[in-house]
Amino acid sequence: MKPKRIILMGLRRSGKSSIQKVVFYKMPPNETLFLESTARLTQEHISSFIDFSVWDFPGQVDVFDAAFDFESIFIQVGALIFVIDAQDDYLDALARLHVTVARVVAINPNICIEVFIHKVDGLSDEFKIDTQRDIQQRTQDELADIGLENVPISFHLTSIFDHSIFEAFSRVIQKLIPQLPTLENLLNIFCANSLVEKAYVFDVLSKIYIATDSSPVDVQSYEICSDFIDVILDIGSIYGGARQKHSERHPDALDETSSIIRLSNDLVLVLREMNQYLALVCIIRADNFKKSGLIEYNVQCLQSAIQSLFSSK
Amino acid sequence: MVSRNLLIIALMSKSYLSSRPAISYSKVAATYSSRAQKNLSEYQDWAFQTQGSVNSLSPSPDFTKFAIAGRELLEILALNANPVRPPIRIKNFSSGNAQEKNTSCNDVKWGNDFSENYLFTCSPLGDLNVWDIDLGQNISKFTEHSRAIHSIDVSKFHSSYVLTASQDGLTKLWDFRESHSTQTFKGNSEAARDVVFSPSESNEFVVAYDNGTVQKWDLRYSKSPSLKLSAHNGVALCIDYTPNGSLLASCGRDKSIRIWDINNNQRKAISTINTIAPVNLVRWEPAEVNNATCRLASSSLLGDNSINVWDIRRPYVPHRSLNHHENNVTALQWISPNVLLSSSRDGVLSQSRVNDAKSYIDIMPSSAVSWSTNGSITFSSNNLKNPNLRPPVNRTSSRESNISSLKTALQAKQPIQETHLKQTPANFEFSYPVKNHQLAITSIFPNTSHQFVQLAKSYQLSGETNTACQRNARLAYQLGAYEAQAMWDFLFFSSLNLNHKERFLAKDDYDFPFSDESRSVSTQNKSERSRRSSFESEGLSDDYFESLLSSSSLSSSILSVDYEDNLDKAVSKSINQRSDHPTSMRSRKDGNPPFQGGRGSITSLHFFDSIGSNVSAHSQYDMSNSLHQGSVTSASIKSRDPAFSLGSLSRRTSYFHDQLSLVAEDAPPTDLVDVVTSSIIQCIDESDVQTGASVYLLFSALPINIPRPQLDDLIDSYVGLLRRMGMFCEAAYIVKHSSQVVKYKYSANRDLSFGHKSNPKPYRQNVSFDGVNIYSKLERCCFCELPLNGVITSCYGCGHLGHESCLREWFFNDSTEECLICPVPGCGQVCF
Repeated sequence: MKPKRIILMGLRRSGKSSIQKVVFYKMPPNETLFLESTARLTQEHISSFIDFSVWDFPGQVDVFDAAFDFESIFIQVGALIFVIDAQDDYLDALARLHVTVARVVAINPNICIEVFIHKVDGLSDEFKIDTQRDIQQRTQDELADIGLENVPISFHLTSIFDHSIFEAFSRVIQKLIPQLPTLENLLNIFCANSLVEKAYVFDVLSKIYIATDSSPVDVQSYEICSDFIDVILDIGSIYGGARQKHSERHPDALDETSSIIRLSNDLVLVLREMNQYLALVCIIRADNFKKSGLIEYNVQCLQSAIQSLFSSK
Repeated sequence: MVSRNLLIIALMSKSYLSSRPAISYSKVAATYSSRAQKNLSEYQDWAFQTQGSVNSLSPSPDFTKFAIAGRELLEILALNANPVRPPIRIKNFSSGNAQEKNTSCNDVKWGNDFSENYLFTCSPLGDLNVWDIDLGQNISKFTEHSRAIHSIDVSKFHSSYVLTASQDGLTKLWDFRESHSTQTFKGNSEAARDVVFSPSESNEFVVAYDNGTVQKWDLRYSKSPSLKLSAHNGVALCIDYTPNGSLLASCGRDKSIRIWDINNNQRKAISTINTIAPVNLVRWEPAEVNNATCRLASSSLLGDNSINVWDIRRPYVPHRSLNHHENNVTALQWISPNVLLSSSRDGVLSQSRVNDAKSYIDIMPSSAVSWSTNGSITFSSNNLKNPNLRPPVNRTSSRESNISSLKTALQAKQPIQETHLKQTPANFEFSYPVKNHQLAITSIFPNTSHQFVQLAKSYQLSGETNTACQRNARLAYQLGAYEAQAMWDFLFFSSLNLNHKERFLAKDDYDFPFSDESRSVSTQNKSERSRRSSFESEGLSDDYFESLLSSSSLSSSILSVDYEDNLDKAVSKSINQRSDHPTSMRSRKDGNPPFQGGRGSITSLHFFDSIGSNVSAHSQYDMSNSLHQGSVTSASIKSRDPAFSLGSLSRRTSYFHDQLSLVAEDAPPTDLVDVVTSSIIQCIDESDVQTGASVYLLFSALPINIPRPQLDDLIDSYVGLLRRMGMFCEAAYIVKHSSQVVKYKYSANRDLSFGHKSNPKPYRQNVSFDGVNIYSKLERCCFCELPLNGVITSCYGCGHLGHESCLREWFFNDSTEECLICPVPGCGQVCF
């Protein structure tokens, strides 16, 4: 299976490289201030649960310059992320977006176009929604004028200073996973039968959630789960034994990492490693965590189901 | 092949998982029953523990029964005629049939009209199930959605039409008699969370999506929505029409409820209610006949277990709040106006009368005081039960606490004044009762802004200092700025040299109209008197607030005279002090009358109110004064009784003569520079920008011993004030006569540019006025080559842009000839 390709585009200084560094390289957000502006196209191959590569297009490069073989680039692209700086005057960015969308859709009609209205941490709540409405409206009108009413474009308000960028990325990546409905149904069944409040399957490396059950994602539970993973990784790297390399392991060997934390507000966090990239994190009320053996059994069922789901590729 | 494998795996896992944890609800029920004894009986008509977690409930069209659905639960319960008794279980669908045991319902809807006998449920696995109520079994099952269905709705016009909103982003229309969906509506979002048919338009429905949009669709056109609203930041979770279909409420993860005028295609919410937690449900209260409804119930997704009932006319405080649930509320349904059926995640079903619930608005304090920039106070207070109850008045020396104590004093005074309101109507500009409350607006500095404008226009700021001071003092007096007047008078006397002063004493060239009588008395006598009265003034000023409070039973004119008396003495005293210790003037506040800032204007407020009674009032004053002194001045004032204000003027004059005599006799001749310096310092300390700046400008020739930046700030803020009040001529005059720095800041005709890239030429648009311009980040400073941000200015002559600090450094800190030339290499223009 070819790696899915995600392309980051946007005007210069809109925050593309910062997004990439924060999401995939765990760079602290305030250090992105010192990132040099990207001079040339950089490709980063992320070997994680699904292999995808992130291409960071420098903002000043015109992709549709004759020098680029854009057709061969975009034909393999799964998702195009267009980053707009919400704190700047975004009209130029929108003009660029419209041109890009028109060209890209002509090449690859199945591409997911995601617009990140970025750097919204500096805006008030009221202004955020107004900005989003304005951008959405302008884009819709503009695309309707060139006859592309039904191009699916998703808009996300993002900021690298909170978890919104991870959530937006999660949603983008979920669209690229063909097994998502099955995975989600598995989680739904798991949640219903184990009386779990909320279950996430995380990509441990990037803290992006690959799937969750169909109840609405609330920001707090996502935040606590992703922080939980950080804690486990840190503790694991200090006290955990040396792990076998992926190639040396028996393909059917199950991973053993698991952790249970009981919070003071009567919630229990359960983490269970699913395979070398994925971890299940779920939130259970303490009242429902009486029979942990049964939940453990259900988790194992889920784990084997997920293993077979992804090994079949 | 692959997909089949997946399916099998999914089914396998389903069967694995089906060995469900046998968590019994007995414990939950037990805790619940103990809770019921505690507080439920207080608010609850009834509460009922179901056998599982209830996700949704739907009443039958005639409101006699309702269906509840949840995990492994689908039941019909009867609503009794007697509302106090809990419902009776009529039918339980999930028992018995082992194959259906794994059903879990996200939503349930009761059909209506000819589908009245059917229940529609949807599952987290994407099935739409139709149940026959009489048979008690599933009659059909639709599995077109690949992912969970979140919501269903049954049309009220075509009762076989069912809409489903699913996680896969699709909304499907079904006629349950057919085997397939008839229409699919694709909303360009990950998940559709809620769907409702319009109660007024048969073909319209609205869907709420995960990306925060709420879209209105027409059943006959499935390509694009007829209206798309960017409703929420984050997931939109629930929508509900008012019963007449005129308004739509939506709620979402961003903790807000928004009200939309959905039929007029407005893209902005007409009202927004902000709550404390993500809102998962919103339901309009059904209206009484012919009344538009304005209440809605909401519950939160997590964090807050209460049900809030909002009145949309008051979006800040819930109208009613029901707190009986101990877990998140999962379903809400109005049975009738005022009666709300709700269920929570722990399976508790309850019916409650909303109007019996707690109302926050009744327990919130409603007294408030607010202070406006132009010097008026408004406050609202409850009717005090005990009108004699007065809050204690703090008396401290700082100005802020004086003002606050005045507020307290006014507040305390206000209930008493209700009875006296007719006698002293001018104390409150407006006063009106608002349902158990008193709202009043009072102005304590009525003339400050007028005074400021007039003084700014007419101060003489150049020329000979003597005459200018004299003139300014008179102006200040005429406009009631007594403090400024005192300052100018003092400066006037200080600016005269010693023999000049004597000459002045002898020759009477300081011609206040009524000063002759007072000067006929010996100065020694007056200085004596002045000292005594200044001694007395301490006691008076301390007692001022007591007198303010207690005098509400007396006539206000006495109060005003008392105060005027106090004022004059205070002025005289302060002047005495000043002449003795000119450098320690800033400590003058201590031990002096409270409430310095508004002294003059308060006086005038009371003072001119009482003109009608001024004869008697004045005689009162005379009595009190003559008791101590029996001075000729009093007599002379008495002779001029009808012209009361003039009398006070003459009194004032006499004080300055006292003061003058003090200067002449006791104090050593003070250096004018010291006097001016300390005057300005005092003005800065008291933030009296106007007087300070004027004094400085008038005496700008003197070597005043104040740091340069402080003076520049003073002038700068005065100019700022003038410009804000629209007095540009005056501002320009000040700037013209001020220092280089201020001049540079204000007089440059700045250029403004936005977003120009790499234009080598300077910009010559001549747009802006002010010192701070915001340029595009793309520009770079011509001096340090760094990107421009912060305070930016341009060269005078050629318009090159740079940081203000850089240019300031270039032009001011360098003393060579070169510093007059533009810093840009090769420009060569003399810019300064």
